[in-house]
Amino acid sequence: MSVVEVSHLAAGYDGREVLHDVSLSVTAGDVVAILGANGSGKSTLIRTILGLVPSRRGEIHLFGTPQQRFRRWERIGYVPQRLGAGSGVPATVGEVVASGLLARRGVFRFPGAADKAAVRDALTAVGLLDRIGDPVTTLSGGQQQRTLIARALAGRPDLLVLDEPNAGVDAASQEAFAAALTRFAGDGGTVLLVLHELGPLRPLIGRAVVVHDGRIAYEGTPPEPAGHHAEPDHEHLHPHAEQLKAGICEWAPTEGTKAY
Amino acid sequence: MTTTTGYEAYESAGALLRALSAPIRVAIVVELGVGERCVHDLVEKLGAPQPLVSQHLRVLRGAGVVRGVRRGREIAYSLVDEHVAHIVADAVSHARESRL
Repeated sequence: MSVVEVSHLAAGYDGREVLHDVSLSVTAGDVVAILGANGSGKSTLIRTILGLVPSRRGEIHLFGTPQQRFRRWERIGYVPQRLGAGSGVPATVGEVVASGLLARRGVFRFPGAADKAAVRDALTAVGLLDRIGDPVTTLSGGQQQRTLIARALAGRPDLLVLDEPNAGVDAASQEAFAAALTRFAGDGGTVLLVLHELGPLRPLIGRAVVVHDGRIAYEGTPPEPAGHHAEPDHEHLHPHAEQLKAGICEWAPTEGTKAY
Repeated sequence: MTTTTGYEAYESAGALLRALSAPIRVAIVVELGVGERCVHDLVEKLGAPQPLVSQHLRVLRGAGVVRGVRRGREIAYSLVDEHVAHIVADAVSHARESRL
């Protein structure tokens, strides 16, 4: 079954076209990594798929429905790129994860006890169950990112969309995240994620799509590490990692960023 | 940059309409037309996950359509002015009429 179907997509911001002609097909159970340099359009691609950036040409289908008519958003778990400075919201880890259940309404809604179980399961999956009652602000950046992933998992999505989940995240959190994603995919979940580099997720990735200059430059098995990234002493520190400070969740977004 | 086409003045109107181009953002504006809402209200109303709703709100905020005010632990969103509510209400009723 087709989960995401993109054909001849062009998209961009204001006067600037970022994606020129992109076609991509993700079927149920796929784990697809979108790779590319900064500015290649890889984040724009998933933001356009989700309807956050308007498309200019081409078509997008989600679960077989044209995106403009798609309503079952609760089937999609989304973890955006982290947004910089935190808002200092005094929420606990458990509360943040529980907020991931709000989108499930009516018949899709779980009863109270199942809600609690869903929160605990999701936190177990990312290795943070012991922190359930702690304020998110007491967690490391990597643990906060894992909390956001747990929030997405708690909604029991069919498709998980993640934008650079490992950017600026410590090794232990990357490993825990890889384990959670392995379980999600093992249960039949579909994953579409933007990555700067494959890292510990490599064994999990079924297909890599490399975006270059707004087009797909490569699609197939994950490419082998090459260049300075492959060297053992490469520390995987990138300029954007420095901006990633607290950033709980966009529960209370910070002001000032123009979305497009 | 100088042009003589004379429609530069409409650029910001174009940006506004682009911000309103997604059905879910139209739904957010309609909901905010009723009154101030927190993110979790919109999440429950629209059935879309919170990060997605937040990102749509960022698009609307970037276009000057909505503004957020902190209310305790959450941000309460409202329309910047009545104009946008009217534009959207007119668009919605026009689209309904033309389908008949």
